[in-house]
Amino acid sequence: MSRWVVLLLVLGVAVSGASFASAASIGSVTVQSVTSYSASSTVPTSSCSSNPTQLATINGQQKTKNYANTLTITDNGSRPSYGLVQFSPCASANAYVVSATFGATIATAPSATRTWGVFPITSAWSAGTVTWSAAPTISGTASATQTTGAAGSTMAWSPVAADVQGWVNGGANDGWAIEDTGSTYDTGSLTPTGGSAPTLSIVYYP
Amino acid sequence: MRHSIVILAAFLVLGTATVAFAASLGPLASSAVGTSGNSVNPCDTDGFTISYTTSGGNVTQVTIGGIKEPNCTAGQLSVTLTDGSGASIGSGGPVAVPSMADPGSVSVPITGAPFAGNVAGFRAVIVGP
Repeated sequence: MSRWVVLLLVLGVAVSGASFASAASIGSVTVQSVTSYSASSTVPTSSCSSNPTQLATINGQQKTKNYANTLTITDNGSRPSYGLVQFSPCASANAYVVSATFGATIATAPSATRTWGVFPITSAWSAGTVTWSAAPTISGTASATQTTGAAGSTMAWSPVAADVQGWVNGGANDGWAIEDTGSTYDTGSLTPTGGSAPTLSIVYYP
Repeated sequence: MRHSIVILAAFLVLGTATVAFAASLGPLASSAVGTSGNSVNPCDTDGFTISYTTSGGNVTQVTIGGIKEPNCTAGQLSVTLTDGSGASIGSGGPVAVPSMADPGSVSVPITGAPFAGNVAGFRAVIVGP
């Protein structure tokens, strides 16, 4: 009987010793410093605004006359007048355009509320020489439309981000023609220069 | 005889307790802690700032700021960008934290070039020093 007790005693001592040895070996593992930090965060957008590099009016009733630095929009059936405007986008090259807005202030309001659209111009023009007879080609599809308001109010055409994205990416940039989309006579104008000059505002990721 | 049994029982209990204690040390492995988002003996306790470098609307690099120095010098900084669901959409590092003035900042190039508009959060981990 006592032999069994001694055997069990020895076995117990052995198990305890092995356990202590195991614990000691794990204790030698170095627990490395770990600093972990998580937070909500969004990438901020950039924004900028610029004025036109050139603008002019082409007049269907005065087909050979140049109207540099004016923006008169007239619906007169087959002989309207369009405002032409061109910007150099202020966003960095190849930036991702989140939104873009073309803004302008009404100088002379039409007699009734009208809808004016901005149509991409698809060939080159120069404000100092452009006329109705020597007009650039203009897309038949408006990028955006906006209804007119009173004189002094601001018109904002949006979205025009797709057009601006193309320009920022280095595509052809010949600006927009501002046209009355109606079919009855009316006329108005936009402030072309000065503090209320048209603006192209862009929100983008560089 | 009775004394022997008591001594034997004591050794067995002690051994079992020691094994249990040793087993409990297992989860302290640093990799497991790092991915769980918890800190162990952190070199910085007040969080980090982040700023982004983008190209064409994609995040190409981030700069982690507010790094406590010299506590974090020689640590390895890794960054993960996450979307609104918390899923990883880009990552960078590890980049060694150099010796610098406190608080320091470290730039980390991001692989995956996630779209900037998809980024909703970030996770920065410094292992070591």
